[in-house]
Amino acid sequence: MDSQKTKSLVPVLVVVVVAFALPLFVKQPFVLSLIIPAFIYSVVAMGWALIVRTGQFSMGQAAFMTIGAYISALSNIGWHLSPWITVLLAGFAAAAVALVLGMVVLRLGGIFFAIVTLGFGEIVRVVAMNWTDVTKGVYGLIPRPLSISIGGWSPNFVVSKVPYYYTSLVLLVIAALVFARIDRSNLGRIFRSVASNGSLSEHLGIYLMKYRVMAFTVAAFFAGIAGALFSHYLLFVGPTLFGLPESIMSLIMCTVGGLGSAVAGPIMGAMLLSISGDYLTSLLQGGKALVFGLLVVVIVFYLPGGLVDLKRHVRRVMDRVRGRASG
Amino acid sequence: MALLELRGVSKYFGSLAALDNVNLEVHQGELVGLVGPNGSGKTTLFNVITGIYRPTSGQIFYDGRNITGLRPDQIATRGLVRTFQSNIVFREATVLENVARACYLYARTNAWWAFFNTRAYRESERKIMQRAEELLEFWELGDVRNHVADGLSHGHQRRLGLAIAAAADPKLLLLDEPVSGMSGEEITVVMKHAQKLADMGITIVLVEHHVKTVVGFCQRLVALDYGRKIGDGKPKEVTAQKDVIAAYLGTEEVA
Amino acid sequence: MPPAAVWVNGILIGSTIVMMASGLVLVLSVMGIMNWTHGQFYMIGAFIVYTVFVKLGLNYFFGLLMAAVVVTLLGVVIEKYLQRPLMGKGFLPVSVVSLGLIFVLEGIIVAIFGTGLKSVPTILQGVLRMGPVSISVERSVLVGLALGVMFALYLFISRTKTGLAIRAAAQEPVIAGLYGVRSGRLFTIVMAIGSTLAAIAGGLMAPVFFVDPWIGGGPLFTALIAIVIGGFGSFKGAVAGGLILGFFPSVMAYYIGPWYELLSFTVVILIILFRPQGIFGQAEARL
Repeated sequence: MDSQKTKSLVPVLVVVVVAFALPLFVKQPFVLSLIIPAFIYSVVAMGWALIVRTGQFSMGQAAFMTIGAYISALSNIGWHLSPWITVLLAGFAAAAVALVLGMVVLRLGGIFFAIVTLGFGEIVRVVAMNWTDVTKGVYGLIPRPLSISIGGWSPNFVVSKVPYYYTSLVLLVIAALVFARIDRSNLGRIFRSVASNGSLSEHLGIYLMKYRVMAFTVAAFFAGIAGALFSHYLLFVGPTLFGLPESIMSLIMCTVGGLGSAVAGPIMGAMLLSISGDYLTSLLQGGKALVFGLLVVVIVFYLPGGLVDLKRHVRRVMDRVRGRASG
Repeated sequence: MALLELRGVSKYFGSLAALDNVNLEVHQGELVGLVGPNGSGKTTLFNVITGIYRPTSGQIFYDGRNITGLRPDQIATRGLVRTFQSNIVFREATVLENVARACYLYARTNAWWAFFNTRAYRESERKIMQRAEELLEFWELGDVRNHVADGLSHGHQRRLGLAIAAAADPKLLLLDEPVSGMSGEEITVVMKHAQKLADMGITIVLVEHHVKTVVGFCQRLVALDYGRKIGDGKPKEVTAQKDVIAAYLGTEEVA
Repeated sequence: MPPAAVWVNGILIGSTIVMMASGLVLVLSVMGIMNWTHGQFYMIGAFIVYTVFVKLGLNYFFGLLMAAVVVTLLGVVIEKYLQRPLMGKGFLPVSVVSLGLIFVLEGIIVAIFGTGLKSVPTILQGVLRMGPVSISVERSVLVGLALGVMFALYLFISRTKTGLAIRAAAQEPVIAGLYGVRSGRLFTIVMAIGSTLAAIAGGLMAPVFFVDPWIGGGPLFTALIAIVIGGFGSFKGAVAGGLILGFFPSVMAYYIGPWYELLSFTVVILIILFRPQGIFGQAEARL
């Protein structure tokens, strides 16, 4: 049991070390500007995965990113709070909204829930667009960049992308640890019960709503922080910054990465799709949408376990080919 | 005082009376059989007792407290557990995993403890796994512990369903046709286990279409027909009642 | 009192929402799946009308017909090869594919037409004057068409044998089998009807606003809200919901501007809290 754990830990540690060391070798800001959004979306995707692992289907992750981004910007600009604090605040604000919405809507679950979260995303957009007194509508808000000043060390968050790279990487690592811990613990087991057979779980004493709302709230918390951090990086918040396409993207990322996985799948999917996204758009207008859409359809039909499952799938195909060749 | 008491419980679906003014008392330690032809309301009765349906009228008392209208999980927490006729296991999980999941009530931990991996949590996890092992042994499922539940034979699946119910630490167990579709041998095995549970002090109400099984195991029989209680007493007496025989006429022999 | 044009617009928009909602509710009740690409069908319908009427210079009504035909074919192909094979495996694979297709369809349209706004010029000039009331001929014709389509749909659902099978399947899928219509064929028919309705809705609205690859989102959202308010599995509900939501915005917008969406959403939340089966739905929703 222990050797198994060490075996799976080694590749993870290698990846983490490489990630932290990357800016030492790669100096082009262009590369970093591709990776930072990927880190951000990985966090959001893991949140979506958590919700799906309680058997629910959310179309609202982007809405919580938007809420987080606005709350952070508003409290940063309006109350002059440090961006570090406002980003954290954004997470709690998004979680609070999710808690209330979840308690109302998760009762019904299923398609109802998917539809209402979609509607909720729309509403957030409409409010952001039209409550111009607060949100400045289409023009958006400009939050201040992050900054640290310890002793003489004051990394420049504006000129260089490296500080944001590390900040988002740390967020990703923390989020990954949280989601992995949840999955491996008794909580993960309860979530799996709820997703697998809600009726049976109920009759075993599990209060479905409690756990559905829990997952939804935790996912929103991280989405809020991710959205807030991203907007402090872009130095902009607008009503269309994170919308329905982004919500659907968290789904596509998790499907491509592997729906059976809580951490590795979403991260793989997010990194792959986020980084290739810009390239695809530059190739052909609409290329990104087309390729991602097709990819997801192909994955569902031919590799339902996602990229995480790829090694096993290839091995199976190879076995079959070898079998046919020798037999 | 009765462990379970139904007072004037009726359940209407539109104008159809699935249950019609049912009064019932079950006392601690009893082994009660619930019989009746298809459609007589046996499963509906279970559904109403366990909170899936709210009775149209009447009340349900468990352990002295009114549980009418409570949620299924609240009712299960109080020790009232049931099994199902179908959809009885966690299909995609292994047998061991199934039983472990079912131990939710046995060792309740806080979400925060679980997250931070406190000593109390680790102890609780150890107890859950230990109990899961005990249950697997008790229900003779040890040799299929790593099989996926969906692929199990019918007999194994039903036994797993019972193990799951037993894992939830019940005081009163409602078994919904636990031996349907089983061979005579398998039935004996299951009823042997059910008897062991009864010996441990668990009160059991058993719904079974197959009256012979029920007569052998139960001290008391309750008969339903069209949602109404038509018999309640010793098995020999109830099965001799004219209206009970008439209800079964054409479906199955009672004697 | 808003001018007549607002009322006419209201009826027109309301009808298109009813069409969208009906199509959605049909697929949802009979097949048990959510057709997320419905909004894209609306958008593609609009683009086809644009292409035929503006780019090719042909008759607008011919364009509408083309839109219905092409989109219906698209819908049927999607249903048969991309949805039905997945339907036994739980709701997740079907929904994922459906959402992925949103992107695929968007990508194709953007690749062909680019991202810019297209406008469809007025199809019929002239203004009707009836006393103090004046409405454009174009709007009147569009409204007439919309109402005609809805009436045809109503006749089909209530008078034909297939319509009966559809209604039966929406209530209880097992019974539909008794009517001798195999579910596969019924699914195709229902999807075809839904796609046609969406395409026509899109085509009818093309001259009213504008056409771009993202016009499908709004109607889809509104149709979804309409279904929730009206009740799942209920045709009458879809109609009621669609009318409320299609009609009201135009009239409401006149009074409260863009906040009517927030109002509809609040109504949805209230309905979920107090009457989750919607206005006409059955209690004990299976979904």
